[in-house]
Amino acid sequence: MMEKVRGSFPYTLVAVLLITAGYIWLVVYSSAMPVAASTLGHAMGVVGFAMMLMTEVLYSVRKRVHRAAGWGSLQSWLRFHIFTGVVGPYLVVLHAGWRFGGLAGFVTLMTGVVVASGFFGRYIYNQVPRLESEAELTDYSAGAGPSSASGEGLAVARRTLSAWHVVHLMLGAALFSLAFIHVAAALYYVTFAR
Amino acid sequence: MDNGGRWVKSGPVVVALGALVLGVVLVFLTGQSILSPGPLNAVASDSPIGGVRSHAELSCGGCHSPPWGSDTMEDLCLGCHEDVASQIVAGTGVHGLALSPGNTVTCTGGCHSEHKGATAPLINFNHSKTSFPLTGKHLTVDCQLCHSNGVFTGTPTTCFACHQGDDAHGGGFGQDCGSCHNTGGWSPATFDGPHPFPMTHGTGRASPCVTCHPEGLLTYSCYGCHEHTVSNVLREHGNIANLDDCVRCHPTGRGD
Repeated sequence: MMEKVRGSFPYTLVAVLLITAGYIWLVVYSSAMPVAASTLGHAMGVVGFAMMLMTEVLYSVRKRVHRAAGWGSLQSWLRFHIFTGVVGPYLVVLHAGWRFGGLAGFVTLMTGVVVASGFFGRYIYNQVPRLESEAELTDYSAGAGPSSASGEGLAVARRTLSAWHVVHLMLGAALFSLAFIHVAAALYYVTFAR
Repeated sequence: MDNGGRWVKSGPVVVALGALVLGVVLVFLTGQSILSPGPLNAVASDSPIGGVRSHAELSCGGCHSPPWGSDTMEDLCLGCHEDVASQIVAGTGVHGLALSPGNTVTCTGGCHSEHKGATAPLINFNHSKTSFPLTGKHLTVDCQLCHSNGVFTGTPTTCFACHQGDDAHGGGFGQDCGSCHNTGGWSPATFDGPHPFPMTHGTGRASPCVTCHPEGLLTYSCYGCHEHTVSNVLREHGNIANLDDCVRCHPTGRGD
Protein backbone atom coordinates (compact mmCIF):
# COMPACT_ATOMS: atom_id res chain seq x y z
CA MET A 1 0.00 0.00 0.00
CA MET A 2 1.51 3.26 -1.04
CA GLU A 3 0.31 6.83 -0.87
CA LYS A 4 1.48 9.65 -2.99
CA VAL A 5 4.20 11.48 -1.11
CA ARG A 6 3.23 14.95 -0.21
CA GLY A 7 3.83 17.13 2.81
CA SER A 8 7.62 17.28 2.97
CA PHE A 9 7.96 19.87 0.22
CA PRO A 10 6.91 22.99 2.21
CA TYR A 11 9.18 22.17 5.17
CA THR A 12 12.07 21.35 2.88
CA LEU A 13 11.61 24.51 0.85
CA VAL A 14 11.42 26.71 3.95
CA ALA A 15 14.52 25.11 5.42
CA VAL A 16 16.49 25.53 2.18
CA LEU A 17 15.39 29.15 1.84
CA LEU A 18 16.30 29.97 5.44
CA ILE A 19 19.71 28.35 5.11
CA THR A 20 20.32 30.14 1.81
CA ALA A 21 19.34 33.50 3.29
CA GLY A 22 21.62 32.99 6.26
CA TYR A 23 24.48 31.88 4.04
CA ILE A 24 24.13 34.88 1.71
CA TRP A 25 23.99 37.24 4.69
CA LEU A 26 27.17 35.73 6.09
CA VAL A 27 29.00 35.95 2.77
CA VAL A 28 28.03 39.60 2.37
CA TYR A 29 28.85 40.40 6.01
CA SER A 30 32.28 38.79 5.96
CA SER A 31 33.01 39.49 2.27
CA ALA A 32 34.18 35.91 1.94
CA MET A 33 32.77 32.48 1.39
CA PRO A 34 33.26 30.24 4.45
CA VAL A 35 35.85 27.59 3.68
CA ALA A 36 35.32 23.95 4.54
CA ALA A 37 37.69 23.94 7.51
CA SER A 38 36.38 27.15 9.06
CA THR A 39 34.17 26.96 12.13
CA LEU A 40 30.97 27.53 10.17
CA GLY A 41 32.09 25.42 7.23
CA HIS A 42 32.98 22.57 9.51
CA ALA A 43 29.67 22.89 11.39
CA MET A 44 27.71 22.74 8.14
CA GLY A 45 29.60 19.62 7.15
CA VAL A 46 28.92 17.91 10.46
CA VAL A 47 25.23 18.79 10.58
CA GLY A 48 24.74 18.04 6.89
CA PHE A 49 26.42 14.67 7.12
CA ALA A 50 24.47 13.80 10.28
CA MET A 51 21.28 14.54 8.38
CA MET A 52 22.48 12.41 5.49
CA LEU A 53 23.18 9.55 7.90
CA MET A 54 19.66 9.89 9.26
CA THR A 55 18.41 9.89 5.69
CA GLU A 56 20.09 6.61 4.87
CA VAL A 57 19.55 4.76 8.14
CA LEU A 58 16.29 5.76 9.75
CA TYR A 59 13.88 5.14 6.89
CA SER A 60 15.45 1.80 6.08
CA VAL A 61 15.24 0.76 9.73
CA ARG A 62 11.60 1.81 9.93
CA LYS A 63 10.80 -0.24 6.83
CA ARG A 64 12.67 -3.39 7.77
CA VAL A 65 12.70 -3.68 11.55
CA HIS A 66 9.46 -5.17 12.82
CA ARG A 67 9.78 -3.51 16.23
CA ALA A 68 9.90 -0.12 14.53
CA ALA A 69 6.40 -0.51 13.17
CA GLY A 70 5.04 1.45 16.11
CA TRP A 71 7.34 4.44 15.58
CA GLY A 72 4.99 6.27 13.26
CA SER A 73 3.58 5.79 9.80
CA LEU A 74 5.79 4.81 6.94
CA GLN A 75 4.64 7.88 5.08
CA SER A 76 5.77 10.16 7.88
CA TRP A 77 9.19 8.55 7.90
CA LEU A 78 9.41 8.87 4.15
CA ARG A 79 8.64 12.55 4.46
CA PHE A 80 11.40 12.89 7.06
CA HIS A 81 13.73 10.90 4.80
CA ILE A 82 13.09 13.34 1.97
CA PHE A 83 13.51 16.38 4.23
CA THR A 84 16.87 15.27 5.63
CA GLY A 85 17.82 13.94 2.20
CA VAL A 86 17.56 17.40 0.68
CA VAL A 87 18.59 19.71 3.52
CA GLY A 88 21.52 17.56 4.62
CA PRO A 89 23.17 17.40 1.19
CA TYR A 90 22.50 21.11 0.70
CA LEU A 91 24.47 21.85 3.86
CA VAL A 92 27.22 19.54 2.65
CA VAL A 93 27.49 21.40 -0.66
CA LEU A 94 27.70 24.70 1.22
CA HIS A 95 30.31 23.14 3.52
CA ALA A 96 32.37 22.22 0.46
CA GLY A 97 32.48 25.87 -0.55
CA TRP A 98 31.43 24.94 -4.09
CA ARG A 99 34.79 23.24 -4.67
CA PHE A 100 34.94 19.84 -6.32
CA GLY A 101 38.59 18.75 -6.21
CA GLY A 102 39.99 15.54 -4.81
CA LEU A 103 38.11 12.85 -2.96
CA ALA A 104 36.04 15.38 -1.03
CA GLY A 105 34.93 17.00 -4.25
CA PHE A 106 33.96 13.62 -5.69
CA VAL A 107 31.91 12.97 -2.57
CA THR A 108 30.14 16.29 -3.14
CA LEU A 109 29.34 15.28 -6.72
CA MET A 110 28.17 11.85 -5.58
CA THR A 111 25.91 13.59 -3.07
CA GLY A 112 24.30 15.48 -5.91
CA VAL A 113 23.89 12.26 -7.90
CA VAL A 114 22.19 10.47 -5.02
CA VAL A 115 19.88 13.41 -4.33
CA ALA A 116 18.99 13.59 -8.02
CA SER A 117 18.35 9.86 -7.94
CA GLY A 118 16.05 10.44 -4.99
CA PHE A 119 14.06 13.07 -6.87
CA PHE A 120 13.75 10.68 -9.81
CA GLY A 121 12.53 7.92 -7.52
CA ARG A 122 10.01 10.20 -5.88
CA TYR A 123 8.66 11.03 -9.30
CA ILE A 124 8.28 7.35 -10.22
CA TYR A 125 6.85 6.62 -6.77
CA ASN A 126 4.11 9.19 -7.31
CA GLN A 127 3.18 7.60 -10.64
CA VAL A 128 2.44 4.23 -9.08
CA PRO A 129 -1.19 4.19 -7.86
CA ARG A 130 -2.08 3.25 -4.32
CA LEU A 131 -4.79 0.86 -5.30
CA GLU A 132 -5.29 -1.51 -8.17
CA SER A 133 -8.64 0.15 -8.75
CA GLU A 134 -6.91 3.41 -9.64
CA ALA A 135 -4.92 1.56 -12.28
CA GLU A 136 -8.18 0.48 -13.88
CA LEU A 137 -9.08 4.11 -14.42
CA THR A 138 -5.83 5.28 -15.94
CA ASP A 139 -3.70 3.90 -18.72
CA TYR A 140 -0.03 4.26 -17.76
CA SER A 141 1.34 3.33 -21.15
CA ALA A 142 3.75 5.91 -22.46
CA GLY A 143 2.06 8.90 -24.08
CA ALA A 144 -1.50 7.78 -23.40
CA GLY A 145 -4.07 9.70 -21.34
CA PRO A 146 -6.91 8.33 -19.25
CA SER A 147 -8.56 5.58 -21.20
CA SER A 148 -9.52 1.98 -20.81
CA ALA A 149 -7.92 -0.04 -18.01
CA SER A 150 -4.48 -1.64 -18.61
CA GLY A 151 -2.23 -3.38 -16.16
CA GLU A 152 0.79 -3.27 -18.46
CA GLY A 153 1.70 0.33 -17.64
CA LEU A 154 1.33 -0.33 -13.95
CA ALA A 155 3.69 -3.29 -14.17
CA VAL A 156 6.23 -1.21 -16.06
CA ALA A 157 6.04 1.53 -13.46
CA ARG A 158 6.51 -0.94 -10.64
CA ARG A 159 9.47 -2.62 -12.35
CA THR A 160 11.02 0.78 -12.95
CA LEU A 161 10.55 1.71 -9.33
CA SER A 162 12.08 -1.56 -8.23
CA ALA A 163 15.12 -1.12 -10.46
CA TRP A 164 15.51 2.47 -9.41
CA HIS A 165 15.38 1.41 -5.77
CA VAL A 166 18.31 -0.97 -6.24
CA VAL A 167 20.38 1.69 -8.01
CA HIS A 168 19.51 4.33 -5.43
CA LEU A 169 20.60 2.11 -2.56
CA MET A 170 23.88 1.19 -4.25
CA LEU A 171 24.70 4.80 -5.07
CA GLY A 172 23.98 5.71 -1.48
CA ALA A 173 26.19 2.90 -0.22
CA ALA A 174 29.11 4.04 -2.37
CA LEU A 175 28.55 7.64 -1.32
CA PHE A 176 28.72 6.86 2.36
CA SER A 177 31.80 4.71 2.09
CA LEU A 178 33.67 7.50 0.35
CA ALA A 179 32.21 10.06 2.75
CA PHE A 180 33.57 8.10 5.69
CA ILE A 181 37.04 8.18 4.16
CA HIS A 182 36.73 11.95 3.78
CA VAL A 183 35.53 12.36 7.37
CA ALA A 184 38.40 10.18 8.62
CA ALA A 185 40.87 12.31 6.68
CA ALA A 186 39.37 15.54 8.05
CA LEU A 187 39.63 14.20 11.58
CA TYR A 188 43.24 13.12 10.99
CA TYR A 189 44.50 16.27 9.27
CA VAL A 190 42.40 18.95 10.93
CA THR A 191 40.26 18.09 13.94
CA PHE A 192 42.79 16.03 15.89
CA ALA A 193 45.93 17.48 14.35
CA ARG A 194 48.49 18.61 16.89
CA MET B 1 6.57 -2.61 -2.76
CA ASP B 2 8.83 -4.96 -4.66
CA ASN B 3 12.19 -4.63 -2.92
CA GLY B 4 14.18 -6.31 -5.69
CA GLY B 5 14.87 -9.34 -3.56
CA ARG B 6 18.43 -10.29 -2.91
CA TRP B 7 19.89 -7.37 -4.78
CA VAL B 8 18.48 -4.98 -2.20
CA LYS B 9 19.77 -7.06 0.66
CA SER B 10 23.31 -7.74 -0.47
CA GLY B 11 23.95 -5.25 -3.28
CA PRO B 12 24.45 -2.12 -1.17
CA VAL B 13 26.70 -3.94 1.28
CA VAL B 14 28.89 -5.21 -1.53
CA VAL B 15 29.01 -1.78 -3.13
CA ALA B 16 29.78 -0.11 0.19
CA LEU B 17 32.65 -2.44 0.92
CA GLY B 18 33.93 -2.18 -2.62
CA ALA B 19 33.84 1.61 -2.58
CA LEU B 20 35.60 1.64 0.76
CA VAL B 21 38.39 -0.59 -0.47
CA LEU B 22 38.69 1.31 -3.73
CA GLY B 23 38.82 4.63 -1.90
CA VAL B 24 41.51 3.50 0.50
CA VAL B 25 43.56 2.02 -2.34
CA LEU B 26 43.32 5.29 -4.26
CA VAL B 27 44.43 7.23 -1.19
CA PHE B 28 47.61 5.20 -0.93
CA LEU B 29 48.24 4.98 -4.67
CA THR B 30 48.09 8.76 -4.98
CA GLY B 31 50.28 9.36 -1.95
CA GLN B 32 47.28 10.80 -0.14
CA SER B 33 47.09 13.63 -2.65
CA ILE B 34 43.40 13.01 -3.32
CA LEU B 35 42.79 14.11 0.25
CA SER B 36 44.47 17.48 -0.35
CA PRO B 37 42.16 20.52 -0.07
CA GLY B 38 44.11 22.40 -2.73
CA PRO B 39 47.43 22.67 -4.57
CA LEU B 40 50.52 23.51 -2.58
CA ASN B 41 52.71 26.52 -3.29
CA ALA B 42 55.18 25.55 -6.01
CA VAL B 43 57.16 28.78 -6.35
CA ALA B 44 60.77 27.64 -6.29
CA SER B 45 63.12 29.37 -3.87
CA ASP B 46 66.65 30.28 -4.94
CA SER B 47 68.18 27.89 -2.48
CA PRO B 48 66.70 24.70 -1.06
CA ILE B 49 65.20 24.73 2.42
CA GLY B 50 64.95 21.40 4.16
CA GLY B 51 66.08 19.73 0.96
CA VAL B 52 63.29 21.13 -1.25
CA ARG B 53 62.71 24.34 -3.14
CA SER B 54 58.95 24.55 -2.60
CA HIS B 55 56.25 23.01 -0.44
CA ALA B 56 54.89 21.21 -3.48
CA GLU B 57 57.88 18.88 -3.37
CA LEU B 58 56.96 17.66 0.09
CA SER B 59 54.84 14.67 0.98
CA CYS B 60 51.84 15.13 3.27
CA GLY B 61 53.89 13.85 6.19
CA GLY B 62 56.39 16.64 5.68
CA CYS B 63 54.00 19.05 7.38
CA HIS B 64 51.21 16.90 8.82
CA SER B 65 52.17 14.76 11.76
CA PRO B 66 49.79 12.05 13.02
CA PRO B 67 47.50 13.05 15.90
CA TRP B 68 49.20 10.43 18.03
CA GLY B 69 52.68 11.66 17.14
CA SER B 70 54.94 13.76 19.31
CA ASP B 71 55.64 16.53 16.80
CA THR B 72 53.28 19.42 16.21
CA MET B 73 52.96 21.03 12.82
CA GLU B 74 55.06 23.94 14.11
CA ASP B 75 57.83 21.48 14.99
CA LEU B 76 57.78 20.24 11.41
CA CYS B 77 57.70 23.79 9.99
CA LEU B 78 60.63 24.91 12.11
CA GLY B 79 62.48 21.67 11.42
CA CYS B 80 63.03 22.93 7.88
CA HIS B 81 62.85 26.69 8.48
CA GLU B 82 65.76 26.72 10.90
CA ASP B 83 66.36 30.44 10.44
CA VAL B 84 62.88 31.15 11.76
CA ALA B 85 63.48 28.78 14.66
CA SER B 86 66.68 30.67 15.49
CA GLN B 87 64.85 33.98 15.43
CA ILE B 88 62.23 32.73 17.83
CA VAL B 89 64.82 31.33 20.21
CA ALA B 90 66.90 34.50 20.14
CA GLY B 91 63.92 36.83 20.25
CA THR B 92 65.20 38.71 17.21
CA GLY B 93 64.12 39.20 13.63
CA VAL B 94 60.67 39.13 12.15
CA HIS B 95 59.44 36.09 14.06
CA GLY B 96 61.44 36.56 17.22
CA LEU B 97 60.03 40.03 17.79
CA ALA B 98 56.51 39.31 16.56
CA LEU B 99 56.10 36.18 18.66
CA SER B 100 56.52 36.70 22.38
CA PRO B 101 57.90 33.81 24.45
CA GLY B 102 55.28 31.22 25.20
CA ASN B 103 52.93 32.46 22.53
CA THR B 104 50.35 30.02 21.26
CA VAL B 105 50.02 31.42 17.75
CA THR B 106 50.60 28.67 15.23
CA CYS B 107 52.24 29.14 11.87
CA THR B 108 49.03 28.50 9.98
CA GLY B 109 46.75 30.08 12.56
CA GLY B 110 48.38 33.47 12.46
CA CYS B 111 50.11 34.64 9.36
CA HIS B 112 50.69 31.76 6.96
CA SER B 113 48.41 29.75 4.71
CA GLU B 114 48.87 26.87 2.28
CA HIS B 115 46.89 24.72 -0.12
CA LYS B 116 45.67 27.90 -1.83
CA GLY B 117 47.32 27.26 -5.18
CA ALA B 118 50.70 26.84 -6.83
CA THR B 119 51.41 30.57 -6.92
CA ALA B 120 49.29 31.77 -4.01
CA PRO B 121 51.15 33.80 -1.36
CA LEU B 122 52.16 32.00 1.78
CA ILE B 123 51.53 35.02 3.98
CA ASN B 124 47.97 36.05 4.79
CA PHE B 125 48.35 38.53 7.65
CA ASN B 126 45.35 40.85 7.67
CA HIS B 127 46.86 44.33 7.82
CA SER B 128 43.41 45.94 7.98
CA LYS B 129 43.30 44.95 11.62
CA THR B 130 46.15 47.33 12.38
CA SER B 131 46.15 51.13 12.58
CA PHE B 132 47.60 51.27 9.06
CA PRO B 133 45.48 49.46 6.48
CA LEU B 134 47.43 48.73 3.32
CA THR B 135 46.25 50.20 0.04
CA GLY B 136 47.63 50.62 -3.46
CA LYS B 137 51.29 49.78 -3.84
CA HIS B 138 51.66 49.24 -0.13
CA LEU B 139 49.88 45.94 -0.65
CA THR B 140 52.64 44.43 -2.75
CA VAL B 141 55.87 45.59 -1.12
CA ASP B 142 57.91 43.31 1.06
CA CYS B 143 57.14 43.55 4.77
CA GLN B 144 60.79 44.23 5.55
CA LEU B 145 60.78 47.53 3.65
CA CYS B 146 58.62 49.17 6.31
CA HIS B 147 59.29 46.87 9.23
CA SER B 148 63.06 46.92 9.31
CA ASN B 149 64.83 44.70 11.82
CA GLY B 150 61.64 42.78 12.41
CA VAL B 151 60.00 45.60 14.31
CA PHE B 152 56.23 45.56 13.80
CA THR B 153 54.67 47.14 16.83
CA GLY B 154 55.11 50.91 16.87
CA THR B 155 56.17 51.24 13.25
CA PRO B 156 55.70 54.93 12.25
CA THR B 157 52.70 55.54 10.03
CA THR B 158 53.69 58.93 8.56
CA CYS B 159 54.65 59.07 4.90
CA PHE B 160 57.95 60.76 5.57
CA ALA B 161 59.05 58.05 7.99
CA CYS B 162 59.54 55.66 5.06
CA HIS B 163 59.64 57.98 2.06
CA GLN B 164 62.09 60.67 3.10
CA GLY B 165 64.52 59.34 0.53
CA ASP B 166 61.86 59.60 -2.16
CA ASP B 167 61.30 63.34 -1.63
CA ALA B 168 61.82 64.94 -5.04
CA HIS B 169 61.09 68.40 -3.71
CA GLY B 170 64.15 68.84 -1.54
CA GLY B 171 62.01 69.22 1.57
CA GLY B 172 60.44 72.33 0.10
CA PHE B 173 56.91 71.01 0.48
CA GLY B 174 57.18 69.69 4.01
CA GLN B 175 56.64 66.10 5.13
CA ASP B 176 52.97 65.65 4.43
CA CYS B 177 53.35 63.66 1.22
CA GLY B 178 49.73 62.57 1.41
CA SER B 179 48.47 66.05 0.68
CA CYS B 180 49.33 65.52 -2.99
CA HIS B 181 50.21 61.86 -3.37
CA ASN B 182 48.40 58.57 -2.73
CA THR B 183 49.44 54.96 -2.45
CA GLY B 184 48.57 54.33 -6.10
CA GLY B 185 51.89 55.90 -7.05
CA TRP B 186 53.77 59.17 -6.94
CA SER B 187 52.21 60.17 -10.23
CA PRO B 188 49.65 61.45 -10.94
CA ALA B 189 49.62 63.77 -7.96
CA THR B 190 46.72 66.00 -7.02
CA PHE B 191 46.94 69.41 -5.45
CA ASP B 192 44.05 71.53 -4.24
CA GLY B 193 46.02 74.38 -2.81
CA PRO B 194 46.84 76.68 -1.17
CA HIS B 195 48.70 77.92 -4.24
CA PRO B 196 50.34 81.41 -4.32
CA PHE B 197 49.10 82.00 -7.88
CA PRO B 198 45.68 81.35 -9.46
CA MET B 199 45.80 77.75 -10.68
CA THR B 200 43.14 78.51 -13.27
CA HIS B 201 45.17 81.29 -14.81
CA GLY B 202 45.04 81.36 -18.56
CA THR B 203 42.48 78.70 -19.46
CA GLY B 204 40.02 79.04 -16.58
CA ARG B 205 40.85 75.46 -15.59
CA ALA B 206 43.76 73.98 -13.67
CA SER B 207 46.52 73.20 -16.12
CA PRO B 208 49.01 70.36 -15.71
CA CYS B 209 51.70 71.28 -13.19
CA VAL B 210 54.41 70.97 -15.83
CA THR B 211 52.92 73.90 -17.78
CA CYS B 212 54.18 76.41 -15.21
CA HIS B 213 56.77 74.18 -13.52
CA PRO B 214 58.74 72.67 -16.43
CA GLU B 215 61.83 72.13 -14.28
CA GLY B 216 60.30 70.99 -11.03
CA LEU B 217 57.80 72.29 -8.54
CA LEU B 218 60.25 74.53 -6.70
CA THR B 219 60.68 76.81 -9.71
CA TYR B 220 58.25 78.23 -12.24
CA SER B 221 58.27 79.88 -15.59
CA CYS B 222 55.62 81.90 -17.36
CA TYR B 223 57.32 81.36 -20.71
CA GLY B 224 55.60 78.03 -21.19
CA CYS B 225 52.45 79.61 -22.65
CA HIS B 226 52.30 81.00 -26.15
CA GLU B 227 51.51 84.58 -25.08
CA HIS B 228 54.49 84.84 -22.82
CA THR B 229 57.32 84.53 -25.28
CA VAL B 230 60.68 86.01 -24.36
CA SER B 231 60.47 88.63 -27.12
CA ASN B 232 56.95 89.75 -26.13
CA VAL B 233 57.89 90.11 -22.52
CA LEU B 234 61.09 92.00 -23.36
CA ARG B 235 59.14 94.36 -25.59
CA GLU B 236 56.73 95.27 -22.78
CA HIS B 237 59.20 95.17 -19.92
CA GLY B 238 62.34 96.62 -21.46
CA ASN B 239 63.14 98.58 -18.32
CA ILE B 240 63.05 95.63 -15.96
CA ALA B 241 66.16 93.62 -15.28
CA ASN B 242 64.77 90.42 -13.77
CA LEU B 243 62.08 88.97 -16.00
CA ASP B 244 62.05 85.49 -14.43
CA ASP B 245 59.97 86.29 -11.36
CA CYS B 246 56.77 87.48 -12.98
CA VAL B 247 54.59 86.73 -9.96
CA ARG B 248 56.46 89.33 -7.95
CA CYS B 249 54.68 92.08 -9.91
CA HIS B 250 51.73 90.08 -11.22
CA PRO B 251 50.57 88.04 -8.21
CA THR B 252 47.11 87.48 -9.66
CA GLY B 253 48.24 86.81 -13.18
CA ARG B 254 46.71 89.97 -14.48
CA GLY B 255 48.70 92.36 -16.69
CA ASP B 256 48.12 95.45 -14.56
